[in-house]
Amino acid sequence: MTTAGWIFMCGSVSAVVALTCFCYWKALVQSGSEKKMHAPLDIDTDD
Amino acid sequence: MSPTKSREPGKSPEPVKSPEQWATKIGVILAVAGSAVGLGNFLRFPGQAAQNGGGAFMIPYFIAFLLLGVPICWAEWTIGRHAGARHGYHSAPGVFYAISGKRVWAYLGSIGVLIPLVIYMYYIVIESWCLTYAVQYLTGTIDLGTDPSHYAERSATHFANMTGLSQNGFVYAGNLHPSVFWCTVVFIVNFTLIYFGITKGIESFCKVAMPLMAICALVVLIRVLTLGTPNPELPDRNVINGLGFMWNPKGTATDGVWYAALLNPQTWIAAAGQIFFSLSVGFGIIINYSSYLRRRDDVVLSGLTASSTNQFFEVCLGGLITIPAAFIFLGAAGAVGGTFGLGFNTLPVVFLYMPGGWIFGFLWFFMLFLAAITSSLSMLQPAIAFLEEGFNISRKKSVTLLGLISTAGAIYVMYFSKDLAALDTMDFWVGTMMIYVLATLQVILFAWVLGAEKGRQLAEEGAEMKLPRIFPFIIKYVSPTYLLIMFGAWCVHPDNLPARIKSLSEGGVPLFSVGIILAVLVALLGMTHLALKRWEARGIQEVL
Repeated sequence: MTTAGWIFMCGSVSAVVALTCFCYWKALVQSGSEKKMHAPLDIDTDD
Repeated sequence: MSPTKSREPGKSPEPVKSPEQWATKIGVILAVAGSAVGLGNFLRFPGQAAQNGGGAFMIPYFIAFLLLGVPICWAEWTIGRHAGARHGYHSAPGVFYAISGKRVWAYLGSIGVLIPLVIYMYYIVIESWCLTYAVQYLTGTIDLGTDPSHYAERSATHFANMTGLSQNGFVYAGNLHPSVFWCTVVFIVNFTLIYFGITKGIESFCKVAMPLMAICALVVLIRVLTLGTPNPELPDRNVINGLGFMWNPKGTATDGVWYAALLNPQTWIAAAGQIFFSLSVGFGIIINYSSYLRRRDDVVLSGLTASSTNQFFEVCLGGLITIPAAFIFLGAAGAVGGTFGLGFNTLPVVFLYMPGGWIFGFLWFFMLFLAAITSSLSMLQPAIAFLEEGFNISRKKSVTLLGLISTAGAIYVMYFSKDLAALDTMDFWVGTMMIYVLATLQVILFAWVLGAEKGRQLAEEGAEMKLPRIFPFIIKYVSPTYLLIMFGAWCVHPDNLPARIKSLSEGGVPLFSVGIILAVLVALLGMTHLALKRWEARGIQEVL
């Protein structure tokens, strides 16, 4: 494996892992718990 | 009375049923990601990268992700939530009508029901192959003989016998294709889950299936990366060289420098195509799923999270497993091939060579099955939403009706199995071409009909992160231009439209398959026409 191959592989994997971790951290940890959970609506409006 | 207000006070609005909604934020993210993650992440991406410049492929790949994939995802999430949460529309025709207020867009939106419905008809067959292989690994019924020189040939024969690749019909050499039985099983599982609805069916399943899929893939990844040099007589076939075969930037036949592939337009088209199909944009699924969000639910961060999850499975798992594993045991010649060739012919041979191969083979194909089922589930919901909101048909009846239609389609695909002619034809005209068309329509609807700036404002309602300032410019000019160039280049390629039109002129299964697609499209247009009468009576009211 060439140096360029290592750079592309490590760079690509690192970038994707970093983006994914950032997104999940922001979506699940940083946001408030009330935003994480919704109760499913169960309203019948056929009246 | 229902909590509605009408923008057209002259009309008496019909009560809008309170829609189903996602129970959790992680649920919708995993459901959308599950819809996007499929066989292409593990089988198509590595092949495309290795054949189009290796590591250099990642430059146009990430550029397409930023300029094409993510912006279109955000557009789909935004128009879906807007039409669903504000106006109570969940199917593509309804969403398009609610956004534009024009009848013509509802007719165009019927493509967003056609695509997932027709793709489901053949995708369910592929899904059953994955389950069949997983079960066969678990029960030890894959027999490739004892002579390594015949492994590849026997693997291909095994696949052909299972799928009926050699002749049409359900019976091959006196036996029913195993795919018929397993397809029935997969059908029952799919429709059971979809019957339970958005929250109890799709969301609950994806919250279990996605982590399980990641665990299976990580176990196989660790096995591949710790293989070392399995055959000391062939020291060049080792893990490092396997990774190098996938990731070393390669020149072209005429130019050996690493960036030569970047000067080839085909590399850019292949990279954009991979991103486009991998993220499932233009399928009509994201707008349907996001329509079950609430008005102030975030779409910007959720869309990016779902997209990045898809990229994780593709780059970090698919990119490190498939090609390196094939190279280690079969060398450079064995590590190239199309999606089906690599997945169902090459990898079974790889697992035969691999210590403990039966368990890793099972984990691999079970993971592919999970990837497939989370995608196929998402293909059913748009049509169910259309039947429910267009004709006020209950979910139970909608699921039954859809079950009958999709069963007929799957039977057709399984029966005309010779050379996978029916499957291949449907995949070309609907699974590729129509997706380009629908994605282009969605971008036009978002950026030009709704307005890019207004779209940005809608997207940022309740958003947990801001959109880049350049987003309106990108979605209005860059993404559609990128899309049209890609579509044009794809159309004129000799293997695509010219070859397909020629095959249609020869008649047979391809022509009949296109006839079926057109019949479904005409039926959907007629149904949209009927649904429009109902929607016009109701008006584009806001649901409080």
